[in-house]
Order: sequence, then C-alpha cells, then structure tokens
Amino acid sequence: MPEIQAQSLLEPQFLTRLEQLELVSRKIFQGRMKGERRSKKKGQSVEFADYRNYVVGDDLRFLDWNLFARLDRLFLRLFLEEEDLHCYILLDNSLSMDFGKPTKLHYAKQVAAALGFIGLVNLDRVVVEAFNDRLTQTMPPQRGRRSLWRLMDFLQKIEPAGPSDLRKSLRGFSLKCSGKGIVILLSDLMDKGGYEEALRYLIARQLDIYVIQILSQEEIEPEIAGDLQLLDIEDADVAEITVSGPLLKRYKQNLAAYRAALHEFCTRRGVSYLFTSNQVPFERLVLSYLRQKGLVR
Amino acid sequence: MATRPLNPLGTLARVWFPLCLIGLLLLAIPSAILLVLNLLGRETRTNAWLEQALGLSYHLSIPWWAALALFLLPFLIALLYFLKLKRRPLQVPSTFLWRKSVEDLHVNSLFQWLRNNILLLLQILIVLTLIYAVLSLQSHGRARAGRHYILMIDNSASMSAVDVAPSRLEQAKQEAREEIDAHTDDDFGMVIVFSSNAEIRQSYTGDRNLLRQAVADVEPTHRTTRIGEALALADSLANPQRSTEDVASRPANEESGKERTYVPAEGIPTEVHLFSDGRFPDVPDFSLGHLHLQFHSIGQPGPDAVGNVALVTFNAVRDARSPNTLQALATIHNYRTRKVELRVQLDVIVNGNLEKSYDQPPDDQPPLVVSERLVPVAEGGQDEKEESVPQGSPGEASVHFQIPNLDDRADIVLHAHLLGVHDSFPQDDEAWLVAGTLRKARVVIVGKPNKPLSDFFNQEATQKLALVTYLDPGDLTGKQVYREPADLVIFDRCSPQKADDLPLANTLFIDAVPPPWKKEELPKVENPRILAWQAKHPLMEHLSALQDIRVAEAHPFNMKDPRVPPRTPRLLETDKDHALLLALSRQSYVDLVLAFAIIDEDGNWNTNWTQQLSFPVFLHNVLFYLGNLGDAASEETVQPGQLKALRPDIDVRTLEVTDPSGKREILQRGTRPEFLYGKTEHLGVYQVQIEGGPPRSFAVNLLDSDESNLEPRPQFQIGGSVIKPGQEHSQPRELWKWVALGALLLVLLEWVIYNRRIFI
Repeated sequence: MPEIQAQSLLEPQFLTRLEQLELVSRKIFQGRMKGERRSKKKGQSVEFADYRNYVVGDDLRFLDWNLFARLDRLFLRLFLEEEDLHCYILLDNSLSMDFGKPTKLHYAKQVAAALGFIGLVNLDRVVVEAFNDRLTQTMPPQRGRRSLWRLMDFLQKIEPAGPSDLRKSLRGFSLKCSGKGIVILLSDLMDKGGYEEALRYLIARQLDIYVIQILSQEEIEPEIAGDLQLLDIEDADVAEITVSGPLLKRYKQNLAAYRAALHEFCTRRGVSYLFTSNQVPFERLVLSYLRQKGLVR
Repeated sequence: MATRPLNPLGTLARVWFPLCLIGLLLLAIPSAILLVLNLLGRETRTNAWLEQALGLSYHLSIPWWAALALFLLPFLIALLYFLKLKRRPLQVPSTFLWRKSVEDLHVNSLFQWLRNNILLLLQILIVLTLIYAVLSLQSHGRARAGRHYILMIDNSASMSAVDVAPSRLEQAKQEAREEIDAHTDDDFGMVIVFSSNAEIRQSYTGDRNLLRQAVADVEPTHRTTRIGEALALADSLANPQRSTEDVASRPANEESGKERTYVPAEGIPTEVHLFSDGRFPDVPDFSLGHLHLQFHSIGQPGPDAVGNVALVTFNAVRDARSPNTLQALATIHNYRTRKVELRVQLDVIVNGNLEKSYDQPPDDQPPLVVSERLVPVAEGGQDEKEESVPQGSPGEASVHFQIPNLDDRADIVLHAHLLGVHDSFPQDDEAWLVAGTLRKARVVIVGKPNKPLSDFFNQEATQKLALVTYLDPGDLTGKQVYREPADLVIFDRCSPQKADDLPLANTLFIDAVPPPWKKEELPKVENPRILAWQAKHPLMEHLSALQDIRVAEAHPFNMKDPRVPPRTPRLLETDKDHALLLALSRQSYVDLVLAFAIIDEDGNWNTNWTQQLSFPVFLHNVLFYLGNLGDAASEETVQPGQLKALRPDIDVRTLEVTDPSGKREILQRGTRPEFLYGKTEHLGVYQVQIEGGPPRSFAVNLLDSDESNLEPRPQFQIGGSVIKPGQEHSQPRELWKWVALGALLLVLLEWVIYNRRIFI
C-alpha cells in the first residue's frame, strides 16, 4: 500500500496529545540510567527507603550521624533510586500482517509509533523488535524526544515478509532481552503453532506484558461467496471451501472462541490483552482503550 | 476386546453421496441403450418391444449428434466436479480458522456434508431428465404422426341436467379437454357439436388451443338429440364416397396395356369421441367404416340416479259444444324409481295478462301421485344383464283442465308447470300452449257448378273456416278477379291460359293442369287403378282405403317427364310411374293437380271417391294445408331449434318476432308462402307482430320424453355396431413434456439452493 506508507505514522497534532501521556508499569523495574521512575533498587535519590547496618566499605556519606549520636551504632540510610523504564515493542511483520485496508502492519506501526513516542518523551528506554519467524530487525534502545526520528525511520523501513513463528521469535527475544520492563506485542496472533508457548517465554521473564491483537475487518466479517480455494498468504496452504451461511457462522464462532481462549490465557497469567480491528481509529485505541487497559495514563 | 458400535447415521452420511451418484449413473443406462439402439437403426423393433412390454415408445426428437453430446454431459459434469475446476482462488491471511470451520462442519453436520454435493446430483439429474425428454417417451402406444380424431359433443337439452356437478355439458367439455390433452400436436382434431342438428365448430387442425377454445365455446341448448347429422359430418372425411372421377377422366381411346392407374380415394381412419348421455335414437342405417367410435357416457349411470319428473305432452282442444271453452290436457312422466306427489298449475294469460290460475288437483285435495318408473330386471346371469338394455317405462299421470269463457279472438297463452318437484332437469317442468285464433281461409272456386265440391264448402262447419267465392270460367279472361288476396284457388275443369295468369296463391286443379302444361298432351287413361299413395304428406293425412277409388277417365301425369321437377310428391299413383294426384311447386306456392274430374262436362260422376269418407277428409286437408289454416284450438308447438312456419295473410310482407328473452327480429317475406323463423332456441312464448293485423304467438316446448329421461343409455346402435361406453383404448400420451417440466423444476431447485449458498 504505497499511499498508506507514504503517510507519516503520526500526525503532529496527535503528537502533542501524546506528550501528556506516560507509560505505566504495574511493576517497578530496574533501569540502567537514572530516570524519572522509582526503582526497587535502593540508590541515590531524595526519597528515604530504609536503614541497614553499616558494613566496611559503605559510602560514609550515607551514614546517619544522628542515630549514631543517639544509639552509638552505625546505620546507613537507604534511598529509593529513580530509574528509566525499558519499553519493548514487538512488531509482527509477517506476510499475514500485510492484509486489510489499512494493512494490519501499518496499523501496528502507528500503534508502535505512538507508544514509542510516549516512552521517549518520558525518558523511557524504548526498544522496537520486528519479527516474523525470527527476530528480523531491532531498533537499539532509544531515549528522549530527540530519538523520535530514529523510531519513525525504523518503523517506516519495516516491510512485510516471511511466515510467522511466534514461539521461535519470542523465545529469541526472551533470550536476548536481559532487562525488565514493559513488553507490547503487536500481532494478529494467527499462528498455526499456537500462542501459548510463545507467551510463556515472555511471562517467564516477569515482564509487564501487553498483547494487542490486530485483525482486519475481512477476517472479522468475511464478505466472500461461492466455491473458493483459499490460499494462505504465508505458507501457501490451500483450503477449499464452499461458502455458506452455516460455514460463515461456524467461522465466526471459531474466531470468537479463539479470541476468548487467548483472553483467558492472558488474564490468568497477568497479561493484558486487547483486541482491535484495523477499522478502529488508532488514535482512539491509544487515547481511550489503552488508557482503560492501564498501559498509558 | 471391545468393538466400536456402528453408527447407522454416520454410515449413511458416508455412503449417501456415492450411492446417489451410482443410482443416477444407473438411471442413465436405459437412455444410453435406447440411444445406441436408435443410432444402430433399431428404433422400430425396440419400440415394438417396448410397447408390448411396457406400453411405452420413444423417438429421438433432436439430431443424433446432439443426443450423443447430451448423453455425455452428465459424465462431463461429474468429471468437472471432481476435478474441482470451478473453485475461485482467494488469498487470505491465514487458512487457520477456515480449515477448522470446514472440518467442524464436515464432522458435525450431515446436512452440510450433503449440501456440498447436492448441486452435482441435481445437475446430473437435470441432464438425465433432459435426455429422457429428448427421447420423447410416449405411453400406451407408438409415436405416430397425423392421426385424426373427432370430438363429438352433445349439447342437447338433457345435457343441461345437473345430476353431475356442475352439469353434464361441463363434464363432457372437461372430458373432451382431457382427450385433447391426450393427443399430440401432430394429430388432427375436429370439434362437432350436435343436438337436433350438427355443426362443425372447429374443422381439422393440429392446433390444440383452437380445439380447446372450440370446446370451451360450446353452450347448452334446449334442443332434442339426433346424432345422424353429426355422424354424416364425421363420415365425409373418414369414408369418402365412391366417385365417378375414374371413369370420367379415363380417356376413351386408352391403349391396352398403357392404362393409367387410378387410385381410389381412401378413407382416413378416425377416432370419434362421443360425449353424450346417449339419449338419441339409434341410427341403424349408418355404416361407421373408418370411424372408430368411442362413447364417453356422461351422467350418473343407473335408473336409481335419475331424478326427473317431466311434462311430456300439453294439448288443448276446443269444446265441440262450446267453442269458447278449451280443454287442456297435460301428461306427466315420472322417471324416478319412487313415487312422486305433485300438483300441476295452469296459468291462463290473456293478451299478456295473467287472468286465472288453475291447480290440478286443487289445493283442498291430496296431491297427484305419479307412480314410479318400472325398471325391467334382467333375467339370467350377470353377463346377460349387461347385454340387456333397460329401457323401462316411466310412471305416467294425466291432468285435465277445463277453461271456459275464452274470447275467440284474444291472444291466449296457457302455461302449465309442475309444483313440488325438485329435480335435476327443470327445463321440462313447464310448458306453454298458445290457443289458436279463429281465422277464415279465403277460397276462390273457378269452374262450372260442381255439387260434391260445393256441398263441402257450403256446409256449416266449412263456412266457419272458409270464405268461399265462386267464379265462372269465363271470368278468367279479361278480368282476373282471383288476383284479389286469396289463400286457395280451385280450378275445376278449367285453367288460366298463361303461366303469368296463375294466381299468387295455392291452387287445386281438378281435371285441369296449370300452364304451361296442357291437358291435351297428357295421355287419356280409362279406369286407372290407384296403386299407391303417400300417407305421410299433410294433404293425405287420415286418408284410408284409397285403393277403392274408381275413376272412369283420367289424364295421369307421367312422372318421368323431364318437365316434372324431381322429388315432386306423387300423392296418388297409378301404374307405370303415372300420378293421379301430385303437388307441383311454383315459387312459394303449391299447385295441387288432381288428374281426373269429379263430375264430367255433362254432370256425370267420373269417380266414386265422392261417396267415400276420404273425400271430405281430403278436401278438409286441402282447406287446412293450402288454405293456410292453423288448428283452431292451438297454434302448432315446435321444439327448440325447429323451424316455425308462420302463415299470415298473403299480403303481409314483414313480420316481427320477439323471443322470450325480448330479442326482436324482423322477417321479410321470401319466395315461400310462409315465413320461416329458425331462432327457436329458448323455451317459452314467442310474440309475432303482423303488420296491420292482430298479434299472434307461438310456443316452444321441450316435451320430449327421450330428453327428459336422464338415465344415460348403457349402449346404442350405430349401423351394425353396438357402442358401449368405457372401452379404453390405447393411445400415445406424450410424457416428454412432463419430463422436461421436471427438468425445469430441478433447474429452479438448483437455482434456489445455489442462491441460498451464495447470498448469505
């Protein structure tokens, strides 16, 4: 879809609205640089956390001299350290995402751009990983507003390619990723290998996981008729069907069941799940639905 | 070791489609065999076997190559279906859910599984039906083109009976329509409608719509039934008369051995379907020849089903002692098999107004009981019973009315109808009678005195009927006095000189001949013997013992004389084709010629006829018939469809007749002495308005015991054949149209199913 690709992913007016938002993590994560977030890690900040006994080698600047005067014992003052947040955006760029109007991939890119921008302006460490049957492209961690163009440039260059293998891709991501933070998975999750094992890799990393499933309207409400030979765009699998009312009904039932199972799987494991169609304006998705889900505030 | 229980539904689901497919292919085998046999030229033998074994026949209605292509079509469809060439490829993001859905449906739903294949079955079935349609299967006979059939529909009065709903005629029309449907467009059909006469409503045509329309247009009449004319119409094509064409066109000097071969006209075998209740006289002197008559009996069979009581006679006579009193007599027939109680009401209508009503028996007396119809019980076994013809005799009763104080010259109509009778044929429950008005015939007698003649005309009874003027033969020259309006002119031993001098009236020539005949040219015979006479002629009614007439001298007519018109009635005949009394036609008049004198020129008796009873009766007949006198008691009643002869005064030029429905018709005088009115279709009283004269009436009544007897005749005789109903016959009924219709319905069904699948 060249005309869609030519459009900028985010409108300037929308950017100003996104600036007021920030990514929310339900867990407090460790960062590498001092950021604007509290960390579990004790460090140098203004917010007191606790005391502990002095051991040899501690920084003498953090001794509580008042306590030493009263108790004649050495205690060290501990402060909560403020850190930056890791925000991993996993973008499915398999061929199945190149479907719909706009394509699911374009829609996912817009969502990724919006969330990435929110992360950048809040000095979070934003990482974008594109994957199909493996991790294909990675945007190094970016921080700060100035990195916006890099994010946009990276997203623009992602092209649909290859079949998808969610399990293999997420396994690779979990091995590669050492930090903790938020993981936002943008995919249609139509993987014949299933999603359970793949998601378990992320869950095992104790990341704050958000799964956003994007489907095209043609997949949700198919408008097809006649005797058809369905060709799978990814693996060239052929399914011969004769479209009928009962078949369409059965398809919709299966789709609903698939979504319900995915939702239940995620909920049971503390994973946030959000389903969206490519027909839902992504601005509304970000400003309304993701806010309701607690990803942004 | 446990075995898995068999699921019959699941087994059926698996084998249903292949079983149907195999069944359809098996169904194609007979058509293939028939097609191959046709291609091998064995159609005739195959048809012969099929007709004998199955009552079927076939022929290819399309070229052989088209039939072959059509035959291969189901195999092609099956091949295409299994090759699945028709599926349209469509790219989707993932077949994951689709495959799962299709599998779900296949596993869970028997009907869905079938529906995936039912279009194939329907398409093959459609082609199969088309194949059998083009094989043009026919049942009960061989396919044969150009057969002739005649639908002969009885629309007489009895066919209006409602013993079968809605009426007998409607049932006959329905059966005729079915007969038309049973024939093909290659057959030629004709529609003949008959009652007292017959009419071709549709001549031979292959257009069955025309035949159906002709049948639909048949209307009931009140006429009696005669089948002879209808058979004659049907006969003309089936049994052509031998002609003299061969002899006429054969050259006189034909060389021996080189004679032309003349093929005599051959009759065309024709089916005649007669739709009637059979209430018509047998036609013993008719030969059916090539006509194959099939009788479709209409009406409820059996004597018990007849529910009719009828007036069969209605007459009136003037009281001999009191001419102003009428004696009316009505006869009632009961055709039911049980007694009937009824009364007869007689309305006396004078000049259009109801003057008085009489009931017979009167109200204060018990009703008249008419005995039941006696049905003869056949003796012997069942077979014998079928052969017998149960005619039976209906129960009969008569009623008598005396109507006094009637005006001689008034227009009097008597209307009799049955009360308390609820039968299925109401048309015969009433009758009308018009009392005749007294009118005198104007008679002119030209001749020398003739005492026997003058005695008859001078007697008091004759004076009441005739106004007689006597003229001398000398008056014939110069003054032509008889040119005054007259009904009858009697020339006694004299005649006008020229034919132009003949009067515009009926004449009786006694011992004279009408010009241009000349008495001198006729042979003179002494003591001729009367050997024969025509008793049925109106002039000869009630005459008997004519062989006793002795004549001294006569001038008989030689009937072989070419000047004598053919079919001239020989009223009194002597030997050697010589007539002593004959009725010559002259325009619209009759010249009655008596070839011998009553008294000769000298006043001597020339015959002893005057001393016999038949002489005054003869003169009475002459006065009534040639003098245009009706019965003084009642106007002659006619049956529906019969011609009514109206004989007003000689100078009347036009008449206006108004029928019971109020429709008027003006009649102009033609060349006949009487006016003939033929539109006597309705029962009731017809008014006749004569210019310058008093109005007259006449009545049209059914009064026919054959029509009133509603029991369909079980059989009748035509020529030497006894025709019975219900004899089934073998005739081809084309089935291919029904097969083609089935194919069309299958196409519609396929269309519906296909659309249900496409438009969700």
